[in-house]
Amino acid sequence: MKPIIQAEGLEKTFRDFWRRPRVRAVKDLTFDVRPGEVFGLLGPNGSGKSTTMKMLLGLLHPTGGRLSVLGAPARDVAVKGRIGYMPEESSLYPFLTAAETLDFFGRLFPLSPAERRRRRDELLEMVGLTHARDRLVGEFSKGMARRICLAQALINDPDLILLDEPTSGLDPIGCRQVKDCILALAMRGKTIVLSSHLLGDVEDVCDRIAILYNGVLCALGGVGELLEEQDQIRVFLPSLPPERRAPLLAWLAEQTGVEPRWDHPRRNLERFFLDTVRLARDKTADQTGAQVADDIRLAPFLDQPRKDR
Amino acid sequence: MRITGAIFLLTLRSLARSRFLICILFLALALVVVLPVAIQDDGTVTGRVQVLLRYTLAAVTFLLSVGTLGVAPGLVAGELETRHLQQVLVKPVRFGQIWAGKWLALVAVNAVMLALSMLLAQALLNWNLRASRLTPQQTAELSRTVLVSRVNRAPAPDAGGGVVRPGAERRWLFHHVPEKETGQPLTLRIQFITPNFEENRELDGEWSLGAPGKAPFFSKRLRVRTFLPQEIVIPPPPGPLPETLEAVYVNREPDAVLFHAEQGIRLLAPKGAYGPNLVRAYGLLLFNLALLAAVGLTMGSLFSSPVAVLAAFFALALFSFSGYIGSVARTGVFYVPHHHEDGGGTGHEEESEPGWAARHLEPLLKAAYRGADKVLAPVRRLDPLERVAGGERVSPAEVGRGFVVLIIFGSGLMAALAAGVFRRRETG
Repeated sequence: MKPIIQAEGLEKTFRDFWRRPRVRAVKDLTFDVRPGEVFGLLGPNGSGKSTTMKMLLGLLHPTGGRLSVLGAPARDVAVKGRIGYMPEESSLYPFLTAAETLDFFGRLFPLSPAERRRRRDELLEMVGLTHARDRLVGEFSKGMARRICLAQALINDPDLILLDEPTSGLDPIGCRQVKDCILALAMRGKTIVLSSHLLGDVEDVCDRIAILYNGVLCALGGVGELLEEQDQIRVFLPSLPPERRAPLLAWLAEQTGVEPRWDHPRRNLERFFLDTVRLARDKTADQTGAQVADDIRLAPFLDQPRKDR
Repeated sequence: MRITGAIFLLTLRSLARSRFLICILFLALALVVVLPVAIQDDGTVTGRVQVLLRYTLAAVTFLLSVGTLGVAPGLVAGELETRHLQQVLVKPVRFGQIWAGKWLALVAVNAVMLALSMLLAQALLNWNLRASRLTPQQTAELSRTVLVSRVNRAPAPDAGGGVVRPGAERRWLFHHVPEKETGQPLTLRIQFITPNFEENRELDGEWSLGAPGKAPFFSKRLRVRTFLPQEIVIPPPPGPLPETLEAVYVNREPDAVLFHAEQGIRLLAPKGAYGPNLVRAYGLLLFNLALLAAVGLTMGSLFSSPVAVLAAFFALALFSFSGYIGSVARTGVFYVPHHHEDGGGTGHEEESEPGWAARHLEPLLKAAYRGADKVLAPVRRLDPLERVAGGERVSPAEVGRGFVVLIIFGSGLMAALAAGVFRRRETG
């Protein structure tokens, strides 16, 4: 299957006023993103993630190499109709309400007014902002702004979704919802590229990752393939009383020649936090920010099979 | 259109919240109210209305120009800096569509602000005239000289300037004189001086107007004041007006008389009504503001905010000084020569040897002025302020020419420049 994104020897050098090379932000970057996968761009600050993302969007022009997005140059205007982008900072017009924001971005695509309104309402519901639809975006908390930013990225039902730090500024519930949303979108055949500092988030949702350092690609591959320690195995057992555990460990030591380590597995902090909040929320109905459900449900227009849309 | 419409509506919302623009609107409206109280006129009703129209329209236009150029660059450069525009640029949108939407919004806002200011100014003028309880003569003079629409014909083949020695005669031909409007007089507008620059001196002379080679239908010996433009009202002949008229002046003064090089003599013939003329002038003023909006947006597309604002205001300065630039381009003189009190301003002056810089830079500067004049001349000719205050006609053809020059050509060029440069510009 033809890759959605193909980068070959991609280079980006920023120049100063006199056109002298100043910073080589991306050096000889080669990777591809396959249809329907969630691809993560990882790296510390200044590693070239955002520069790569901006080149994918056509906002920056590569100084070397080849880049094709959805089979066309990244700056092709028609191709942008099939892309959704959520930037790192929610730069939305502060004088528009949530509904007007989605309506405005919807108008930039060839949607009928009725379809635009339907998508707007469904997306507002999806990100839990229906109650704040008439509030100015400028008055939103950072988390609410991130949600509306995610919603605007999906208004055109894109084939390729680029998410720059999608969970930054969100509380753990919001983070979980965005991650669930990413997984749900991927299940519907969307291709997603995300960059993030939060390694846990990337690990949770990405099929493949690329790690950049100083503009150079250091690692590329499937998450499982890169993280799996092939020389060790882990066995989960029900908790055993000490008198039954000791002979088992002794037998394992005898078989492997190595003293086995054991402990009680810890719950995932995210899961624990979500359970605690759910309990607390059940006790009070008061909510001021985004109205969050336990699980995110994709907007119906995103949830339909491609041929029916 | 869909995308341009979306950007247009968004920009309207943004402009409606611009405090700077709201301040400009209030300042413009305040000026319309305050200027009639503050401005000194020559004591006549005609002079007062002329000054009011001239200064009110000029002040309002200047303020709206400043407002437009203060806001327009920020609509692109500012939004790029706040990263709002990147959110739009990653959608299937061409920069030309963004530019057009923003420009249309600026033009729409200017159209409303200019209309409000002009309506208020006209309403205040009408109220002022009613309150002044004008005599029938004053009302007649006003509707003959200011609140009127008159075609301004320059003599052929030259503009009418030159010297007329004592006792000598000078003739001017005016072609394409419009058909007579019932009961409306013709007017000769004269601007001349004596060689010793005496202001407000009344010069004795014989004036006549008629068909060439025939007995004139107007002939009179008059004393006409020097320095500022003066008007001689000429009752129309009983029959139809000839298409070509000849004006004759005989100098009955002991001194020579010097007619202004460009505005020496003009024939003003009534055509149409004042109201529609004001509407056409409004159209031309709006086209001028539209060009400034285009300049501001394009500067914002090329440069960062502060540089763009600076460049846009430089363009405004060029427009404002286009008259001076044109004068330098035509005469090659950068300044008006100072005449000595005792020398009588004969033009003979002691000149020192110009320095190296002057010798080498002056030709370059003059070439720059000539270049600038070539660009600015079409715009300068489309400024209706002076003419509306002088009761001169702004023809529909001029409005059409204004649309072509200022909108299609000027603003179109700006849009093409912005789109061309933006295609190569990185916005990440």
